[in-house]
Amino acid sequence: MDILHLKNGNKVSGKVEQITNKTVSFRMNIDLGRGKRGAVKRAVSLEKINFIEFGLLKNEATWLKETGERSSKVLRKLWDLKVPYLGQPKSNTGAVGLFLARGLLKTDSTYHWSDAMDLFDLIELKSWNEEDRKAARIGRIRGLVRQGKLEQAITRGKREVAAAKDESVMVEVEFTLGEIGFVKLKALQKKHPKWQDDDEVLLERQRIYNDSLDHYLNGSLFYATREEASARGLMGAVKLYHFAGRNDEARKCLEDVGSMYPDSSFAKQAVEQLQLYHNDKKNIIE
Amino acid sequence: MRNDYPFILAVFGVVSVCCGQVVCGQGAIERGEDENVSPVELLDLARGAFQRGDFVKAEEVFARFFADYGENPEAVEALDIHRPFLALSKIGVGKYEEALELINDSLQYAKLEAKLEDELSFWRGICLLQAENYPAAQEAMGEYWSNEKHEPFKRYEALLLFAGLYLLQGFDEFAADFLKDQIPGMRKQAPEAASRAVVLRLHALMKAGMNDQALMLLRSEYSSLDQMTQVVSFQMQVMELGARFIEEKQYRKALFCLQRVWSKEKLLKHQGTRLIGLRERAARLEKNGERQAVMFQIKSIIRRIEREISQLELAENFNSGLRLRVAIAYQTQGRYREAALVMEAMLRQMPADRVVDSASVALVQCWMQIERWPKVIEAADLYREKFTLWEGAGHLPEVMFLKAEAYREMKQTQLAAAAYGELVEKFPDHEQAPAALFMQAYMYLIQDDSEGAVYHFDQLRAQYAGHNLIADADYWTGMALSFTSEYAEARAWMQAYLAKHDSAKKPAKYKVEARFRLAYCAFALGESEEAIEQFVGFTEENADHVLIDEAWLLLGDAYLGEGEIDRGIATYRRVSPIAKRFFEDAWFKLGKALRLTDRLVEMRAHFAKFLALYPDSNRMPEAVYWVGWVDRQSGEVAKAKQIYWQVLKQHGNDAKLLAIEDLIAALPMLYRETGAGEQELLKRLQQLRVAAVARGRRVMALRCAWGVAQIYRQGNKKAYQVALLDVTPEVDAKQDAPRITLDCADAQLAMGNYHVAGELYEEVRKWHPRAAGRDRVFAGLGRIAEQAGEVKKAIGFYERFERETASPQRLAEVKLDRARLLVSEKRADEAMGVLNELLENQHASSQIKAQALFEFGELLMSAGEPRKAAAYYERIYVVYGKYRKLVARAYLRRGEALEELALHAEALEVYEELAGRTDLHAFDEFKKAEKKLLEFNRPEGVAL
Repeated sequence: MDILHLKNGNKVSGKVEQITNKTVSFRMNIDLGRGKRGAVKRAVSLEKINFIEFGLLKNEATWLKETGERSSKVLRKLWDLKVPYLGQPKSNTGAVGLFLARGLLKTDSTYHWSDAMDLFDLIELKSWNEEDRKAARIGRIRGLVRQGKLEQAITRGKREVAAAKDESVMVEVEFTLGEIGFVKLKALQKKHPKWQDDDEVLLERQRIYNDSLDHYLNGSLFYATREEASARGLMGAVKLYHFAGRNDEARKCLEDVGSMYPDSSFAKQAVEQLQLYHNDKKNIIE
Repeated sequence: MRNDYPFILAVFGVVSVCCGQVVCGQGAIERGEDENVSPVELLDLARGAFQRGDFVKAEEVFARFFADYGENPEAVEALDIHRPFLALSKIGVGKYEEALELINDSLQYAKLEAKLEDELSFWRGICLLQAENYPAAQEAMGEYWSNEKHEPFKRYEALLLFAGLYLLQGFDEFAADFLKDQIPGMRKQAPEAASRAVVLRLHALMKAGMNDQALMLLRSEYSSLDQMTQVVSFQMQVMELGARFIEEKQYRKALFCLQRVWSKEKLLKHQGTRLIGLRERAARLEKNGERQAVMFQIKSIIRRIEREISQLELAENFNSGLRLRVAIAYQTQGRYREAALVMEAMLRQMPADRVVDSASVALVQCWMQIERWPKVIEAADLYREKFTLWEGAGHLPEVMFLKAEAYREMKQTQLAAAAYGELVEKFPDHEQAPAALFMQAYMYLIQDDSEGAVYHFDQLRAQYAGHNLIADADYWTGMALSFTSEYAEARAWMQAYLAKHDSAKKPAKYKVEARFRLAYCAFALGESEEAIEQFVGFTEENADHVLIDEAWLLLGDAYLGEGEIDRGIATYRRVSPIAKRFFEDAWFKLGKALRLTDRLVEMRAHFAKFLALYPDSNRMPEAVYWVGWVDRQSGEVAKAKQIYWQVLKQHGNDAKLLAIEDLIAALPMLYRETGAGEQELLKRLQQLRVAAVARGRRVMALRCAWGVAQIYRQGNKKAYQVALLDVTPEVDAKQDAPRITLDCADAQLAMGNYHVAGELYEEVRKWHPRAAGRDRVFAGLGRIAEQAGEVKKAIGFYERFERETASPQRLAEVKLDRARLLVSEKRADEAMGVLNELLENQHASSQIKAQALFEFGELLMSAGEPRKAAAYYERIYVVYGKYRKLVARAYLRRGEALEELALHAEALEVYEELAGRTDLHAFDEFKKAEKKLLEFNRPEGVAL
């Protein structure tokens, strides 16, 4: 059941059926007396409404908990039902859309990735919720990475960093740029296994390697109070250092995670890897 | 009084906890004059002053009443009633000791009002505190706290003062423990006081040296920082805690602290916003007649925040100091990247100040430490932009020097030289200027510009006479002269260098090298005797020096020059195998010596031994040649060829021996030389290949097939290409010699198989980036890109080719291709630059030059300069007549250029000349010229 909060302080319970640019149509239950109940359709001018508190749809709570293959299907169903309310304050449509889009990106289907990008675009454009719009912009960058459009992702990411005044956005984008760089580095070294012997390739390799590290470390250097994000960035640096054979630097980053971010979800992994160092074993991190 | 006294009072704002809460009763009479007034009037005056907060007056008048009527039994009650007000007035004017006595007396008064009792009890503690009677003060505060009827706000103030008094008495740990126990309860009842208690506890922990516990407090309280009244005090202590951890080398703890300190702007904004909110709240409450206690509390908080804000505003370099500490915490751990990133942000974001200045120099040094040369340059430029006009920026010369060093490390010697030179020009008196000038000269030397080097070394001697780099400059001047073969001058310099800078007490830095160079110069001047003497002396004294092997080699040459063959041979044998290049040189020179002395048997054995010991040497084919040569001299022609096959059979399947290709490539000439003909060679190669295939010797089989192609290389281009096309499927670019792969790639390219060719080039680049002939990779990829219409990519590849190639002829060809592409990209200036280089290039063939002239003409035509273009076209057919196709094109285009200039008569002449060249009649341009002539001669109005 949805609740319409009116500007005069009153509230009306009902099931919203349609929202136009002028009115909200809803169905409300009424007591007909003698134990009988009925339903009537009503319409209210949008001007009178402060906001709508949308209730969960039937099965929505269950659908939101779905995982695996079924997840995309049910989320899609949910999204289709809710999308008309994307721009309505208090609607959770944006969150549903983001959930769906992220799930689509995890698949191996390029069609799904394209779908996800469309979802991000729509949410960025129409959602009432600034947090959802931010998340959509970040999701879009990740989508570009998934599609292999690394240069576009980098350009967009850098633009986002330059424009963003919001720390949460900047931290996310910086990490994503680090991830993109790592992908490019691996591709370059696979294409040029003797990169150290080719002056031009060496320069390019060094540039990508250094830029990637700078992006990974950005969180812990400038947004250290965002502990989870900082730890994640440091672990990104660890895997890059490992890849480059710089085990000493990797160890220092692991020590950072273990001692400075002990409550993060990465702390345990960091401690385990440090233990391996101490036992003089190498751990290959992907 | 301990140092924490001001801090503690600041935490409480005690001084401004005033007596204004207490109502003294209305003053009935307000008059200016209080002389000759009655006791009642006196009391009225005093009360009035008290009520107004004029404690000076109140104290004066009350004191007068007490003085005048203190002994009067009738005044006892009045005295008892007003004694508290006198006490409070004295507190108001800071007479705490006097007040204390009065307070004690007042508290004995049985009818004392509860509110006054509350106030006096509290102030008793303060007075004892002011009198530095800390135990008594603490006791008083404890008593005040324990009476639950006392005003809640002051009770918590008393609690905090109780804790503060521990600190004043040096019981820091006690204070910390006490507050730890009290804070949870305080949070529920008096959250604002609790937040101040947290600040005080942090102070106590730090005073007690309990830094780890202070850190734990920070961890637990950080999330509620924005609720803290005195967040600035808290944060400044956290900054101090961070500094302590750095001193203790506990860098991660330091970072944890420092990274949780807000910027000055954030702190000021936060507290400023809070202040506005509190003031608005106070105004609202006052309007609503809110209780004085609440009002008083809010006003106290306001005062505390105001004080913090004014202190913070005065703090200089807060942000930069904070960031620098973070950077230091990383830098001291050797984590230069992290330190640099923090300092880079400082340089970009913060205004110029002395802290940012120091940090910026450290930034450049950190980038140097991890060899991020582009970042060094970027940081240096940023520093310059920010600090050039900043007074006190004395680090610009150092930064400029480091920038030049970065260029040098990147092997961008021209830019390095310019950067060093700029430092010298701008800061000639700076202590680094001589070093910069020296390095500038040295950069010229690296670029093989000895003249430039000598000039700058001269400048160094002239401008900085007496500097300790003069000795180095003298030595390198001698070396520069030696490099340009000015051996007599070089020798004179080296002699002067040693005379000036070498002594028994202080040997010259380059003493050994200078002595070597003197011997070398003597040798180069043909003064063999002198050279021998010098080299003998050198080798006797410097047996372990790095130059020893070269010295043996040159000594051997000198002996041979003097006809002392045996000595020469013996000397050559002394060159160590470790000095590979000199060792091989010596081996071959020894062989030559044997040849010159007709010791052919020895010579053959000598080179055969080389083959046995060093088959992986690049000079292996040369050794094979000499073995064969000896056999030919002995009339054993078959045997002469046999050595080639023997080596090929022995090592032909070893892909790592790249000299085998040279051996195979030499076979066609050998067979032609000896008159055996190509057929025999072809047959043998094919037989060897068949045998290799049968035995699974893939590399050998491939080499034989490639060898077949080499037979056709000179005389039959088509057969050569076909042979390579046949070989291509067998090539494994990763393992096989780059030369073979590249030949196959070139053949594929010539046949238009761009995809296969491209793959082969890429594979060579991938697996053999340092291979000889790698320039062919870029030439090939450039062609492929050009063919695919990827002009920018093609230009990039051609540029890379030009950097890599050692072939002047090939360089000119590719330069021309690049120029054409630049023209098509309308990059006229660049194109002109390249074309001019070609025209001045002595190694460019005449055909290339002719084509360059034509491209120049085309460029000028498209730039709307037909007059200049015409001159270029004319040069082609005047100077380069043998390139007939080009000549025909040049004629036609000149005619068209002249037409554009409306010089129709001259254009006609050109067309006539072209039409008169029967040797050019096969070309389209000839026909076009004929057509043009018809047009010119056509009567007006008559169509063709």
